[in-house]
Amino acid sequence: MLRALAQRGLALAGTILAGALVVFFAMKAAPGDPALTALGENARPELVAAFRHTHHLDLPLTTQFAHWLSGALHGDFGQSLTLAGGVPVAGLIATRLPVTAFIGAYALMLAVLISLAIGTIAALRRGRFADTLATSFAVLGVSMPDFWLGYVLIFFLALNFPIFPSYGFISPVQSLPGALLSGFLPALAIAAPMAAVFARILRAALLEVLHREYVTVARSFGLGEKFIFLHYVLRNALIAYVTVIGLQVRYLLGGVVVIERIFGIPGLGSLMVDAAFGRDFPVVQACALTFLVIVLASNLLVDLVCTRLDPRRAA
Amino acid sequence: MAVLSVRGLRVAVQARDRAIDLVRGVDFDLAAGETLGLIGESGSGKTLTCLALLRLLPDGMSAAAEQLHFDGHDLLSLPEAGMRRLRGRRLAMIFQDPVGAFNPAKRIGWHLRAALTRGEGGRAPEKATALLQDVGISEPERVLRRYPHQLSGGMLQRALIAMVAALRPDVIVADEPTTNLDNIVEQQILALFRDLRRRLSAAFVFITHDMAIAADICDRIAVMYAGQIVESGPAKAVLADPLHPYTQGLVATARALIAGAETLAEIPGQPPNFLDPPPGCLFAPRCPARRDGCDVPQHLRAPRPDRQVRCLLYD
Amino acid sequence: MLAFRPLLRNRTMLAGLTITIFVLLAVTLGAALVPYSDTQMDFLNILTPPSLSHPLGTDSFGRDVLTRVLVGGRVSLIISACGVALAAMFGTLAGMSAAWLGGWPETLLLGLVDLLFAFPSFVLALFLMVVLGYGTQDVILAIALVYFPIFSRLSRSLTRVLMGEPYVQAARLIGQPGRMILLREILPNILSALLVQATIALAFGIVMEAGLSFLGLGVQPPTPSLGVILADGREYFQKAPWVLTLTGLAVSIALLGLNLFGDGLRDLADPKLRQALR
Repeated sequence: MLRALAQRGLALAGTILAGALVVFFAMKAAPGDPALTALGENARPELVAAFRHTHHLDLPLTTQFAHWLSGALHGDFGQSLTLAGGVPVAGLIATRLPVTAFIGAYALMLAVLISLAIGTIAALRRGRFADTLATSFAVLGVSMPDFWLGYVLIFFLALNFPIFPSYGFISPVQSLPGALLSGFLPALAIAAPMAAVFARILRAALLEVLHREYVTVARSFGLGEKFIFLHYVLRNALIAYVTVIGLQVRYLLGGVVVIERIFGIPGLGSLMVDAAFGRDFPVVQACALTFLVIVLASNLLVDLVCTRLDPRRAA
Repeated sequence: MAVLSVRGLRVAVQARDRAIDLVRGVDFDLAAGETLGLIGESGSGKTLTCLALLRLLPDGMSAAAEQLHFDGHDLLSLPEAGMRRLRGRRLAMIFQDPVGAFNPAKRIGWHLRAALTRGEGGRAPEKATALLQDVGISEPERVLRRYPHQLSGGMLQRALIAMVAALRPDVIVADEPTTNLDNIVEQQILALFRDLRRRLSAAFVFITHDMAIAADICDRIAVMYAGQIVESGPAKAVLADPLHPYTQGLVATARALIAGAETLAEIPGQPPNFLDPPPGCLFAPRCPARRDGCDVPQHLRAPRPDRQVRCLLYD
Repeated sequence: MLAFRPLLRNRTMLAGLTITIFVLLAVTLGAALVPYSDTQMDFLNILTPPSLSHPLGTDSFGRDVLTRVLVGGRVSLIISACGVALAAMFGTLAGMSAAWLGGWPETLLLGLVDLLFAFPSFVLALFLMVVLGYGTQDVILAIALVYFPIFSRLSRSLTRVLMGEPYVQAARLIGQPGRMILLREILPNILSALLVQATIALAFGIVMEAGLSFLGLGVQPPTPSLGVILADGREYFQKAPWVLTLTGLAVSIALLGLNLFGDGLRDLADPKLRQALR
């Protein structure tokens, strides 16, 4: 078990390294001169040259990467070119990441709760009206651009019921109820399309398990329907369900980016968007890599959970 | 006094626009402590008859009967809650495929506990090890901790039998319990059944397609063909002197197998197509004794005391 | 019960197809039928709510929103279609080649594709916009790169499955060159699965374009695209929420059509291929 974990950790590190390579060299190909971005278009040539020298921009690319890598391993991702004038990127990420993590987790939780309810109803009332309704919701949910949904939610909920603010975010450290309220609309906007996908998968998984022999056998022993649903049906459908959730983390993070912008949430997504506008390469680079690490880490986590859920895989 | 009394049992499956009969009017009585063998090819309706008794037919199939009495209960009109109380405790079933009969996510110990407590709460496992030992499992503590996929078919079938036997039901329906096991294990499980018949005072309905097993284990036999009982009577009598042409064919094949014949005289032809059955006797197309008059539906005759045949040869 | 399935799925597909065809007709012919042009400004009628003469209202320049949506819809659709087409072509080429060649080319492609796939789609798109620059062509390239992994993975696994088929083995034995086998025997059989994937990708491509343009990193005004119109609508959302809301509704309907159609197609596809599509 430990050896497998070590192998996975090694593979993970390798992928991150490859990702760092790709991101680094791709960034170098981008139009725009970092020195000019930092110092301004009309900066004096000597200053520009000095800047380039300090930031190793005059060295061969591979050497630059080595510098960057060694810095990264020490937690130094360079400095922002534009934002707040030379702030360490690592610091920026450290401040923004928890916010995104909170919103992401909130959205995931909402998506799971909504999909559990809808998927279960659809499976148990299969073929009847409730099922059609639930399945329609599922298809609709996927069809809506999540940032549009965000605005519709603002329109109907925030403007009419002021308990949900339409802009800004209160950190959970300051006030948990405040965070839950201010984070509700953005989380819901991200959660809705995901809940749609999850609900469909859960429904399919439940239906598949409902026809397995061990459910009939359980009934032949006189076990109650609720007990059977919980321990036989849902329990075995969870494996497929959790796998899909794992795959959806990518979409979750994608949705986070635009939603953060709309709702003015100071997270990693809005940081990346601002940096993209300002051509702040070190920040864009670091953000992209951070997102990569989050996805890879969550994949690993989901894998571990699935192994735990399915005794057949643990072998 | 019959503990189980069945008259006119029919099972139909709903397909598109019409219902297709799979079991067409089955009658039998089961006396307390008696073992009734239900013999027939696959597709003869044996399994469906048993599922219908416990009201565990899959979706899309429905059962109807003139009479379905179990120990004073009218199974036809019993509400589901009442049926659930009977299942396991009074009426139990041992399924054909032990591997698929267990919840893959739970250990054997959990299964035993669930069956014994009917999912309502934990009970000490000391009884569990004794139960497993009674069915011939030599290391019960180890088996209790295992997951289903870690155990062989034979072991799982023993565990299933242990669970059923522990509840001490009045009627146990065993659906080809040894078909999916290899020969050596099959003999062991059959020995187990012989032992159970001695120990428990339950009545058994034992389904098999193997004449030799029927001769060994059953008190009475009913032969099924295409959803109907075509012959019934005491096991030894039916096998020594089969009356219905189909039974005669089965016995001849079995005798040849035991004698180690090189070629088998198979019963020519195929079971009838359920969508378009023959108008009269369902076996007529394959019957060597076919004659005029076989093209009307045949009823059961009683040519000898305690023997019944569905064939006009015995008018 | 089993017989009902194709009929039900057909209903979904029919519904999806109907909506999609309607949308396609609307964006190709609609602009010609509407009395306004998408650049026609009417400063006397700024930000008017939906009415008979302006079913979706007007924007801050007095332009008819419906016309803008029709023209913008066409732009978004073309952008997404181009991007998906590029992704499909190159992805399929890469995937099929990798499956056929096996060994390190396959491992290399898989590694690259897995890496690309490990980035959240929109984050990758955002990153690509920084690398490529902002503009319509760059959006197309970004969509192509983001969906390249899906097509290459799909075509690779499908090709692998089909490589085991007897007719492929036979062709190999009689000495047919790999290129011919891939083109003549395998490609026609995986085409339906690729088509299903393309339909779904088209829908997501529209959302991606809308998102990028909404942020200002995609199609640049004055060229209308769905994202650009949504961005406009966002600016004066408080005063005139209908622009954003109704435009988004139009987008959702179009996407719904595409998704239903893709779903229906998937259920009609060969069961062998269906597994790979899930």
